[in-house]
Amino acid sequence: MNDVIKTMSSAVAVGVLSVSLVGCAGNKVSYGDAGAVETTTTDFGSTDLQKMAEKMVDSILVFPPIVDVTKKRRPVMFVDTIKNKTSEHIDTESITDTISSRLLRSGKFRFVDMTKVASVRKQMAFQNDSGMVKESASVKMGQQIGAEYMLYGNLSSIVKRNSNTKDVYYKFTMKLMHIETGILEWSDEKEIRKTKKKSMFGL
Amino acid sequence: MGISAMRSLIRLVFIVGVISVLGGCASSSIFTSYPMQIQPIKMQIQAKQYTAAQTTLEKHRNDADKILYMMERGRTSQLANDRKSSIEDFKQVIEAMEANEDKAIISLTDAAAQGSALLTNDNAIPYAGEAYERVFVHQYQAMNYLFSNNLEAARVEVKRAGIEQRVALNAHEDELADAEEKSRENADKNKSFSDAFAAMDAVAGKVKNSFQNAYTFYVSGVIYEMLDKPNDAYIDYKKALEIFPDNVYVQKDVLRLAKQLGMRQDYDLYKKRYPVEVVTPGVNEGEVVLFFEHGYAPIKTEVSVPIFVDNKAQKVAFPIYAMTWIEPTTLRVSVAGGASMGETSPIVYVQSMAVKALQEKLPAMLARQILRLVAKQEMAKTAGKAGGPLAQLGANIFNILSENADRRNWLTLPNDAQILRVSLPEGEHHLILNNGKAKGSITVKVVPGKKTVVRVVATEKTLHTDAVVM
Repeated sequence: MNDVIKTMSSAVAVGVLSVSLVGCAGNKVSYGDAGAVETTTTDFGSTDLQKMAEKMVDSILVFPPIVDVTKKRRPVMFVDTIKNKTSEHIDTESITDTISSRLLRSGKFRFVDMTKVASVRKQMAFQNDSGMVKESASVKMGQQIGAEYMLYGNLSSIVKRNSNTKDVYYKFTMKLMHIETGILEWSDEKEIRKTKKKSMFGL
Repeated sequence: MGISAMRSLIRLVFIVGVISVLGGCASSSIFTSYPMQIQPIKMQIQAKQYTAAQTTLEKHRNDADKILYMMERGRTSQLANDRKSSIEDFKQVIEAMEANEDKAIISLTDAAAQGSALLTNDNAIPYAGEAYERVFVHQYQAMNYLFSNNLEAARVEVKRAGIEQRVALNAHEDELADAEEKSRENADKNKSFSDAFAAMDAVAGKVKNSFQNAYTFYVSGVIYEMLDKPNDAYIDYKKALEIFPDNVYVQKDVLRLAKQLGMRQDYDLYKKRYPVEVVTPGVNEGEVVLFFEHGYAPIKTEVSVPIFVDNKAQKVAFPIYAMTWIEPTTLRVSVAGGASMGETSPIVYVQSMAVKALQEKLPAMLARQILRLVAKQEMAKTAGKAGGPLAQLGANIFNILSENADRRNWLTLPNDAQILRVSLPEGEHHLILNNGKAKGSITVKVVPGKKTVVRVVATEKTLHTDAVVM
């Protein structure tokens, strides 16, 4: 009788174990907050991108001379590339995309997109030269508006480490140039420091 | 139940267990060493009988070690210029590696493999790929896409190769201090163990870690340049230079881009450090970027090392790279009926990465071997109690037969890789290639403002070539 109970109980144990293993099988995927602070590693991450873009947009929109200029009209701007002087691949286009979207949505500025000039030229050639588009319905050449301001910048980093600490410093500088006069109308910088310390005790 | 009946039942269970270990385990390297299995494949590659090699490897597409066999097959297909198959094979490798990462932290299949590895040897654990091999998979996949004129896909793959290296580096930094401490501890306990592997230091010493690959960074840089992203290219060339500061072509590229991008501080610094001349291609010139891969990755052999458990020495089989440093032979390139284009310069030593990777794994391997010794002794004892002396003898024989070192690694990888980069005038050029052992030629097209990428792989006396203009 004892043996039977033993066998039964071990069978139950095996059953419970396998059920519990099967029960937790399958990985979980869930949605997170895109604005939540992310600190997985000291590499350039989503939080850094958001912080930099936010700071620049706020700074430009409240700068008194810019407020003056944008009171009555919406100047045209173009975004030049951001020079990446760090030692990691950072999608600087993504930073400028966020900045230009926010500036555009503020209703103070208008933008021309220099990355799309080739496509636009192709489309215009099709409309005007292919003979397939009705002349009255095709866009006219030579009517685009030139940008008045150029937005550009630098992203640099300093990385220091010893055996148990890694320190990364990012500096993002942006400048706004009045193209006709070459005068810098505005400039600002955003610094970010990230430090990683190794824990003394861990799993 | 009578005692004899009980005995025969246990004997049955034991036999079933052994049979399942022998036959059921999908890994085919448990009893035949992996290098022996791949040797005929290499002979076929050298004879340019690619299809035969592909067919043999195809049989292992669904093995437990599919990652390993598909890496070999992807490489074989690549040498055959069969890019479509190569892309498929590497895709399967990448998917299998991702599936490994997605596995639950405690996985039943892993536990089973570890269990049968405990009774046989490490070959029963499905091959997961060393970090340097994973980087190479992405790099070769990028090259497959590049040679199929798909730059955008190539960019995605080099980005993944970069991520792979960064993740490995982050993990490495965390583990480094830990591992050093552990290996010192183990070395104290088992001095004979660390002595046995001391000879590997000379080859491993040429690299800082087993996964950072200047060749991958350089290919990545070339692809970014083709995509008109000089800033990203600059970052990768700089990384390549950091790992391989002696390569004159990388020095030139870093200087050229530092100047072009207006990185003044960098430019001044590198200009002082590297006295090379920056040349930009002329108006009627195109660039030829030549990648030369030479030889095969090193092969692990087996070494028997006495291990002390309960103060009793037992001989245990370990894998070891017993080879000495193989000095890379360069490829000399010249234009037919014209001047010499110079010779290639090394950019990665796969031999050192492989040896370093094994070194990094030794402490964990020692720990597993000690467990295995205990498990095997227990098994023989149990068999003796249940089945009598004959069963114990059988178990002991099984233990000896199954005591094989894990000698698996990606063997069709090159031993080293080298690069050459020069500008040539527009038009078709017949390039004469000479590696001493292997000689050959290839006709390439040069287009102004574009890059002609040439890949030359030397296996013994055979050259495998491919070229693309982007």
